[in-house]
Amino acid sequence: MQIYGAAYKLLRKFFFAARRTVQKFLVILAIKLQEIAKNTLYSVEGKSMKHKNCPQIHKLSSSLDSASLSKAKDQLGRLKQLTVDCAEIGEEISRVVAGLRQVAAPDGQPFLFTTVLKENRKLLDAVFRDCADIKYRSFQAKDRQALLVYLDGMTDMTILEKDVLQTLMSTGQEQNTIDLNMLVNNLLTSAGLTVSYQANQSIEAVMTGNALLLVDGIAQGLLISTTKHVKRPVSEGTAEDVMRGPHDAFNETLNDNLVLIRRRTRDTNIKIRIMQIGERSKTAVAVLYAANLVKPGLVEEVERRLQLIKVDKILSAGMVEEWLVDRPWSPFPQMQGTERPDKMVAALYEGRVGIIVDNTPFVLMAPCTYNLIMQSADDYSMPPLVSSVLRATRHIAAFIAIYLPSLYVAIISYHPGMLPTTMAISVAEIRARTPFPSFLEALLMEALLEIFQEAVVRLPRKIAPAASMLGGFIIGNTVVQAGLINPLLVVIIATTAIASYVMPSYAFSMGLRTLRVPMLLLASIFGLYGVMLGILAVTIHVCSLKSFGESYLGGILNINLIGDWKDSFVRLPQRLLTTRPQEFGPQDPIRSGGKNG
Amino acid sequence: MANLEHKQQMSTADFAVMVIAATFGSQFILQTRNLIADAEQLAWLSVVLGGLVYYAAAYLMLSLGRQFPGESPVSYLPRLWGPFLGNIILLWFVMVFIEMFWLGMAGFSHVVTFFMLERTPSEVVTLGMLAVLVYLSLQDLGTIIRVQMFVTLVAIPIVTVVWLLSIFNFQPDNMLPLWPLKIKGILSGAVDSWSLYGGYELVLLFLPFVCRQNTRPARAIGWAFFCVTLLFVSTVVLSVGVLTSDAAVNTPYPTMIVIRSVELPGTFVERLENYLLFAWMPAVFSSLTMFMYIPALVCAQRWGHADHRPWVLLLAPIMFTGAVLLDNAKIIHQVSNFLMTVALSFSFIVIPVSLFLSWRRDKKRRGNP
Repeated sequence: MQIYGAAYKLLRKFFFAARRTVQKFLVILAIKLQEIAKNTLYSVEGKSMKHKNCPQIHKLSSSLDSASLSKAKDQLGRLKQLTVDCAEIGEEISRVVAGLRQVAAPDGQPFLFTTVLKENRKLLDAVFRDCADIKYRSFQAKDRQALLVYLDGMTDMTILEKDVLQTLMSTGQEQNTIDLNMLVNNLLTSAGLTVSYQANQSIEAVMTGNALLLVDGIAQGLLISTTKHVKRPVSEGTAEDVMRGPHDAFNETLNDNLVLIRRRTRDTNIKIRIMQIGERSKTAVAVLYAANLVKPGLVEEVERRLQLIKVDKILSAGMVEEWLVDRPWSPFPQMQGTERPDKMVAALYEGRVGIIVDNTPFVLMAPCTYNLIMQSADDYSMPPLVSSVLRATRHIAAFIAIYLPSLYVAIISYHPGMLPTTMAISVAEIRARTPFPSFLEALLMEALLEIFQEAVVRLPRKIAPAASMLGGFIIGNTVVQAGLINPLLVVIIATTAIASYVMPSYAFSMGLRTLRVPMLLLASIFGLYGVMLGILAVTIHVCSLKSFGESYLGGILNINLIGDWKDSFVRLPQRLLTTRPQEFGPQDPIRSGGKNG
Repeated sequence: MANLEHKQQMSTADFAVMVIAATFGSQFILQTRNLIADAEQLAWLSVVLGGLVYYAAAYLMLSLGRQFPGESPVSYLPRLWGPFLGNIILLWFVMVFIEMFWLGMAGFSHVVTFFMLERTPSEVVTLGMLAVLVYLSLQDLGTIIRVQMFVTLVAIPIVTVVWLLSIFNFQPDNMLPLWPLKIKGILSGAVDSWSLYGGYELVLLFLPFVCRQNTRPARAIGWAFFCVTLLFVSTVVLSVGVLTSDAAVNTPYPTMIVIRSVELPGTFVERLENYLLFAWMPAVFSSLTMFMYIPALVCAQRWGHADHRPWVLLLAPIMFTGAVLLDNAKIIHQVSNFLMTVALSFSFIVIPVSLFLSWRRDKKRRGNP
């Protein structure tokens, strides 16, 4: 404290000295300028008397050295520097003052509540300084003065008025004195009531919409659950549409999302742990799991990784995902995202862990495998044969989405002999009309496609269809007519784009799109050999990816996990899906036919 | 075995897949000619005999490994043979794989440049493949097993299907005479068929990684040999059946000529050699990965390093240089003969003697408890 005091005095002295210097300088400057103006005026008048025809006007600096431009610049620079120094000193002083203002409190707590309401109000004022939406309501509660603190717009005023103000301000009751016990047990009728001993807890509660009641003579705060804020209702999903499955989707409110899960299962083994992430935003993050199914250690690993997130703010699930995954540079999503509660419940019963981030309608599920990414909720509401065909289509589409343009470039540039003769001749004829080599053609087309896709995503919904029509028309017709790109390539790129839209996960389809250009490059250098090198590199990368310790490829083509193949490339009827996927190591592998099935 | 994190163990199925991946590689296209030269129409018999003989060699290795459960040959071979001889044998073991890599890579580069990328220097092809091989070899064992399984289960069936299309040109008459009475040729072919089966030596190093609960590695390796024998038999039978044995001997790559001669009129698919090569590349990649990973692993274990990756990076230039230096048929033939001698002596001299030494050691131990 002594050091702070000495520093404060020193800085204060310095600040005032600097201020005095600046003031003096400005006063001297003003006086000098006045003198210069007068002298100039006189000299001009005097000279004009002597030389009436040609009045001689000199520069001000010639008569007054201190008025020269360079000097003025120097002075201005000094002035600027002084201003900057003053600002820095000011900041330093505020820090020192803030340090001096700190009251004795345990670590992590800004202060301790006292029994004096005025003191508590002062302390809260300091914390909520410049928070215009924080409201204080002082009132007389029986024989004591009380203070209600709440966040305007996030608090249910009706509850406050009915359960707090009316009860405490009424004078009809016999008992005229109140204490903490009476408040909790007799007077406050709110269901969500917590006695808070810690200032930090109280402040956080106020910031989430609860009301804080402080009473003179009581060194604790009472937190009344009154949260009510504007939110989006539970509505239909926008990213994962299904034909026959349920249509409700998660919204931005954590509690609503938890309700959507609980409504689908009444299982007490579905556990929810809520933690806060973001050192400033303190965003609520819920970790969900089925206690009797999840692989031992998985929940702890998820929580450990969540606790390791040291960042000031968390605004979306995407930010959390990036912190949790092992390989953030990979183009492939390593956690599954969904906005569908039914998908989340299914994941929990497979022994996986769900993560819901407040303020995000997309939830995360871990571990995630390629196999899961290629599944859609619709697969389970369609006949098994149909969904098996659809799944096979998706896998083929994934291959096409990455490799088709590169195969085109490789075959056209290096191995035209692989084409049937008639087709080779017609392709050669078509290509003769375009000036670019096939690689450049494909690259140009890819660039156009990406530009249009990005434009359609970014544009307002009303304009987007017009832009896509324009893009389609330009790509499909004009570019070909202009002789820039051959029609076969248009077919190839269009097929590629449509194939990438088939993916149930948008993040995965973006990953596929990212790989197209490097593949094109390899194809243009090495032909089919280059394509194969690319395929091998992608395969190695995908095989090396791990999602919370599990292989990203999951059970695909793993003969050790042949039991998982029944719900992989194909989907067998429900009555044959008797076991849970082994790839997640569930505690109870039996899904149906067992004692719980 | 559950699909779990950083795997340092493998199932017997994984073990078998590793053996298939290592054996069914570049030799499918490169070595057919030599076998047919030895045994003519009965090359298939040489392949079958070779399969039995080399399975027996693999079985001996498994028996030796069982004497030291959970222990790497890097630790027990120097104990059996003494530090100096033990290290020489380890060097011998490593050299077998390095030479197999050189030959496989050189042959692969020549085939790719010959059939797909004319006028491209084979060094460029080698460098491209080496980059991908190093990328995989730098991963952990679990990832390598996963890639091998994925690639083997995708590539080998495609190679087989495309190759079996050559049955359309098969002429049974070309297989006659059915019994040309060339016993010496058949036996010589059986020995030479090591060039097809080479790579099974990995069982010695990978046996400690195999889960020891209710597993029968010998049976798994037996199945692996059965599968590759079938593939190799189909290779020589179809090559002779389509081209005749004389024509096959006079062609550098008979399998490619066979597949090139197949025509499927009226279909979109024409000229199958590029399709076969395209599917063959991952198979070669699988086997070369093993040939690169094993020396690195042995070196890492020998010098007590927990991580094999620095050794991969250290060996990569050696692998590249060796593969690039084998640039003509004469050198390749000489190195191939030398390799076969080294490998066969390892399988049929070093391993049996090691087995004998370990039995004698056990006996002594039992005698002096």
